[in-house]
Amino acid sequence: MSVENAPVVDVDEAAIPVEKKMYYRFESNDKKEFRVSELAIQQSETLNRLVEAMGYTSEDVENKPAIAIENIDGKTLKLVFQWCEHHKGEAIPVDDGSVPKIVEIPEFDAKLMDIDNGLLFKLIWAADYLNIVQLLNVSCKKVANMAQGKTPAQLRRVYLLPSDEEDEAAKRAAQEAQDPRAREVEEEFEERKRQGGNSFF
Amino acid sequence: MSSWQELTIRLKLEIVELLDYESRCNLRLCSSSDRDTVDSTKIIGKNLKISETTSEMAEGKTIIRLDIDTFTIWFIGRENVTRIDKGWNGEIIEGFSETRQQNRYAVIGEFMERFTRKGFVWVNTIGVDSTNFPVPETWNIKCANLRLYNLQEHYLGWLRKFVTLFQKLKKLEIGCWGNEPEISELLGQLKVTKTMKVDHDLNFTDEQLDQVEAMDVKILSFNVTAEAVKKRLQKFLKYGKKGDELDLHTPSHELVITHDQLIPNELIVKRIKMQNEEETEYNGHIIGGFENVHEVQDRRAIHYVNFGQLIRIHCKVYEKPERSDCMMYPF
Repeated sequence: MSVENAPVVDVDEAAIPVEKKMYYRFESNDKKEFRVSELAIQQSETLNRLVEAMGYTSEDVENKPAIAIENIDGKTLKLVFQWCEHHKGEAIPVDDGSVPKIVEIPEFDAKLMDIDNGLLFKLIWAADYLNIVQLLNVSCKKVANMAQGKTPAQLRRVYLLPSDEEDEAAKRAAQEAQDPRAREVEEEFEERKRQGGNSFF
Repeated sequence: MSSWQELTIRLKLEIVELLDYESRCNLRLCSSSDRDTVDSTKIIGKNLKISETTSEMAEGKTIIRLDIDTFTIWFIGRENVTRIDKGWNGEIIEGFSETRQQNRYAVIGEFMERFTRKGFVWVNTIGVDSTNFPVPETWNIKCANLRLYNLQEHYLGWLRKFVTLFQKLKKLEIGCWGNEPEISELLGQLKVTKTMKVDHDLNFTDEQLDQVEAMDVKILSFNVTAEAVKKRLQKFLKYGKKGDELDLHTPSHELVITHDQLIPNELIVKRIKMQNEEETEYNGHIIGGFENVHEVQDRRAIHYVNFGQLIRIHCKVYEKPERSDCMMYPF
């Protein structure tokens, strides 16, 4: 059938449902704004529940202020949303404990996590806070891989692990910072003990 | 939250569960809090391998080697005397060796218990190779990948044990001989999702072959028809990933004379004549006529060979052979 002979049908364009992708706006604690697709948000259980509860329309998304994520900075949040966009629509793994968890880091994730250790630990924390199961798995795996073939001394450097002595000193410092009088009392107690006093009070 | 120290205990446990055995041991030595963290997580070794070799020095003496990632324990002995050596990366650590007045099979059971948490030893992959002893009743292992090689008369026992422990596996590789009907039944019960390579006849029916979820397969069965082979090839082309291989061995049915009856008509196949190719062979490249859900666009190499009683059909992504500058034999 030629184009000229084809039957002409009037189409009401307004009546055709247009599937519009919705992009939510999020703001980090350092006031950086991100637009994230609805499908990508589904990777985060926390954010998914949040937007469901808010019940925003596409107008609301544009007109209302961006949803604030107060615990995460812009640099980390950017990585999180990049990961979510790349893995949008993928099934979320469920760990039922029947088989050991095997985590493989895909090429994209490996490149995304080619960052300094400080940011990597922030990413783990953010993935846990936003409940993004697979991102938490791969970021933990990356940290675990960093330990391979390292001696305890090297591990201390890589993970910035304090020794028991440093740990104790940090605890004491924290206690003192909380109560500056504590040290004075302790010193007084030690002094009295040295003088042979039986009772402090 | 920018260092290990600032992570919550739960997050530390998540990471520790993903460490290999050697890293766990080293992290445990860093501080008392790290020791507590490591001790409160289950050991998930990447690879646990048990193998046994016969000593040529004395009759009845064997060496059982137990590898957990890079850590190895050797149990050497006969009857009720066992020497135990330990080492990293296959090298014995001097000073850690001991001798016990106990049978090596009992000693190895004790060591396995040390790796147990909540009644199970957790590993990604377990490999059992050439062992001459039946699987101990007390061994409960959870794993994702299973490899059994050369188990001889104890093969059925090991398989029975593993099938009762888990019904789902990611990879299953078997290099043992066995013709008991129970073996096929047991293997039919396992749900294997990625790789299933079994060297012996599985006696799978068309329906059982169709139900195999894994795409990377090596299956030998005298019960499947040419139609089932065709269907499997179509499925492989559609769902197979880049590294997967289809290796099917099927009986040479009277009606199947050429490769045409095993290769679906809709496929566009280019004949590639190989050097020294025999009349019973067919080599080709599948260059179209199928879709792949993983968007693997490469051409597939297909090889068909009729051994008389048996036909082998092998298909995988074509890899261009690397050219060598050397002049190899024949000159």
